[in-house]
Amino acid sequence: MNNNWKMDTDSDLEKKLKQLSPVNCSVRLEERVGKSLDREVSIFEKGKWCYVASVLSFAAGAVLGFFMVQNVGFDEMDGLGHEVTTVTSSKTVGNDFEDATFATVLADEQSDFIPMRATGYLYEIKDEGVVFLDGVNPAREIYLNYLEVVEWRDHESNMTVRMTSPKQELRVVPINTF
Amino acid sequence: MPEILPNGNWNEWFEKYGPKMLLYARQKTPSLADAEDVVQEAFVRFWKSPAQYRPEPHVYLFVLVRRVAIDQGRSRIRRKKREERAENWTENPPLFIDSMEEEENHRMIQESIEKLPEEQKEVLVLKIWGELTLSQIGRTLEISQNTAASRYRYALQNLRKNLA
Repeated sequence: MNNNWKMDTDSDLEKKLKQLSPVNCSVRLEERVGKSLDREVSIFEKGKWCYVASVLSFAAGAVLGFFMVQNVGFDEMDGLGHEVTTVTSSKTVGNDFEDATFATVLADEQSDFIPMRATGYLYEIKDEGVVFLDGVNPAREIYLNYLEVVEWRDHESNMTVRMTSPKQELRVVPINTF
Repeated sequence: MPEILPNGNWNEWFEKYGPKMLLYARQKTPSLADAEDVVQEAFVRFWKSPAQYRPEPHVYLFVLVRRVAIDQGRSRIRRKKREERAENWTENPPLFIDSMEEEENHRMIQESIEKLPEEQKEVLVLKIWGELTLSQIGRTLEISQNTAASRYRYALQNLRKNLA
């Protein structure tokens, strides 16, 4: 021990200790921090764009629906006694469409099915708990279960085709643990 | 969504506070690799945190280092990794920047600090190198200011005894 490290009082010791500089962080650590921050920003940006895309799709759907209702008119929809055919998976169920696939019916040039309605019902939200992104950053896994209902109508035959399909969406939401 | 990248350049913040955070993290972790993990996570959390959480940013940085180090210590997986790392750890890297003539002194200081009880060691590091006041140390460690002051006093006394 050098003589200049002999200290008589606490304040001498404090002064000496303050002269010591902590070692710098390694370049590798700085790079890791930079990458983590980049990832946080990209998740944020991605989330923001997903939100914007959802809002735009919803708005587009609403506008489309509005124009369709305008074209058809509510009066035309009443009292037509149309036959409702419910389709699950890709098969149609109904006398007129028996054994015909949904796609075939809609692709048929003779038929004149017009989209009438598209609705998504959120019926279940399942929280699957915490996962770690890249083994470090905590995030919550949330499953959203929807039922999507799309409806077409052929005005000539007064038939309605309704397709119901399940849809599952997984959202990974970064969480703060402080 | 939390506010991200609020003020300035993160590199400047990291350059200024990174070494201090690392020094503190090393008092609370068994190896440099673990301390670096803690600093990384604490800094990222700090940087993406909403502004209202950090009226005193430098204090909040140490609060986060402490919390992350505690979380890390609790994690079984991380503990396992740490044990594996500790098995391979042959040398304790220096805590302070050495000049040739001071290297021996620094090594002795480091050893003396490492001999201090945990609670005295962290108060000493936060006071001397973290440049926090005793009141801020109290808030960081969730203890009273008086307790922080007495731990600091005991730390200096013990350090002097060890260095004598």
